[in-house]
Amino acid sequence: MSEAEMQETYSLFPGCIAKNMYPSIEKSTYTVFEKIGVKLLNHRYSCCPAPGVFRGYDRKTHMTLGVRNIVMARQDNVDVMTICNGCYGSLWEANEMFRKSKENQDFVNEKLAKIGLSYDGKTNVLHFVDVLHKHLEDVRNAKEVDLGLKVAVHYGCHYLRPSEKHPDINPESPHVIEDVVEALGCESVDFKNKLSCCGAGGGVWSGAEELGLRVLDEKLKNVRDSGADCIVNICPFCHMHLDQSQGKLEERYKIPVLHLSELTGLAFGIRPKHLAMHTHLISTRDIEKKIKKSKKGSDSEE
Amino acid sequence: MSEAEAKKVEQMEEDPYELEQFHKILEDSKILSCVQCGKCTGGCPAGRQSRIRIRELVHLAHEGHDIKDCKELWLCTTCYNCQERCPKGVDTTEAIISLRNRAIRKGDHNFPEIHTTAITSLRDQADGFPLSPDVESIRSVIGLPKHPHDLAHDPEGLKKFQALMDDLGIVELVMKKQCGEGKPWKYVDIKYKPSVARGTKKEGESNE
Ligand code: SF4
Ligand code: SF4
Repeated sequence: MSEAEMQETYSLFPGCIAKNMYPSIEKSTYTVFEKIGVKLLNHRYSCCPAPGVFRGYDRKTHMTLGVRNIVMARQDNVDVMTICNGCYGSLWEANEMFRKSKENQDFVNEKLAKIGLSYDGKTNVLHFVDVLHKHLEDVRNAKEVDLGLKVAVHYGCHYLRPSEKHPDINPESPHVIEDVVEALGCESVDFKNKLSCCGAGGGVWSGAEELGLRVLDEKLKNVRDSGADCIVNICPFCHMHLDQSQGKLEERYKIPVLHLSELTGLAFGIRPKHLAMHTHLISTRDIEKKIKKSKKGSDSEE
Repeated sequence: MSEAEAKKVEQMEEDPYELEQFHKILEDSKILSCVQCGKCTGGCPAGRQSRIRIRELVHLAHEGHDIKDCKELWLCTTCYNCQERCPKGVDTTEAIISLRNRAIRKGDHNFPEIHTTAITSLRDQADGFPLSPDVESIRSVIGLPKHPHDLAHDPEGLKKFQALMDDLGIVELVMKKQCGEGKPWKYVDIKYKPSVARGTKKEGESNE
């Protein structure tokens, strides 16, 4: 096998929100993974489909459409890497439902056969934070600036729960995102109900907006009390709710929200302008200024 | 919904398949093991901010009540806190999802109609959140292809995807049963909505 073929390669599953609403997340993902030596391929994916709505309608439809996505990567014999908890949850569950039941396998393959596809259950669905975590040493080496930020880590529900997804992570005290942000020179601050929901999932973001805002308000209060400079998340759907819905609350929190890929990109020296950070509704200016300061500090030390 | 209001499935359900499905939900999610300790409600972020009481929903289902029309079914964020914390291993969140599936099959008119925009958008352009012209240009500026390499921009693939969705019958199930026969599909651009919901009433109470 040639060297190129042996390079660690995944199919990037960008998900609707990253590619269609926050391209900064998609862009920084490409840059970050290139810098740590991981190759990403593109495939013709649909929406995962969004679990909050579609799994609530009909599990079998959700599973079948999820598996159709996985088949795209299977054809190139690579695993799927998601950058969103929703996509991760959807595809992971579709894969598990398929793998665990002969009845489901027959159902899905009968449907897929009509459009010329089939699946054997052999592809794995990964979350990008796990891949980053595996490459912590490469992350440290690729880092150009110690960010020096205090960050409030937001896991989001569907990375941690149901906990069958990660048998080796304690869902009540995980230390995955924390390890990555610490490698980037950030301090991860503790806050009340850190592992709780942002309020957007389960179709609540669109279907019961006020409830979603109330849950968000509680979350942001706790983050503000922690004194963090920003929230760091691993899910564009949480990201969107945390960023966009802040403006709908009575309380003006103005807490910047960054996806972990963006934070990592900034630490790897990508200029904020090249990430279109202005697509965020809550300005990330203060964060960028702080990073500049840290950079100057570390440059003058050398 | 109180216990008195909720009818028993056994009395309501004429379709033997649906009756069997209801019992299957109880069995699969181990609802019959519930001891009503309340740990699930204790950790529920939605319960702190709205009327949903997961312990109550489990209790009603346990007693054989038909809760397909409970508005509370749609107030769960599926955060899985309750399921992770249940000492008796009841799969509470999975039960909520299965009960939602059942409500949809039975033509529940309480489901949030705005969700139909997601389903029509998925059918039309293979994405729940479609690409807008603004983002197209931002993508180009930061060096990404204007159009993502996705199914929405692959006409052949999209046609097959639509055939698959039609074969699954999902659009029909939701649009016809939930919204009524002949209701036109409407495409709604999901964008940032202006400031709303600064009131103080709790979700779900407005319809009382
Ligand atoms: S935590 Fe489990 S056993 Fe306790 S009330 Fe809830 S479902 Fe029942
Ligand atoms: S999964 Fe739903 S019912 Fe359970 S704790 Fe979360 S919001 Fe509450």
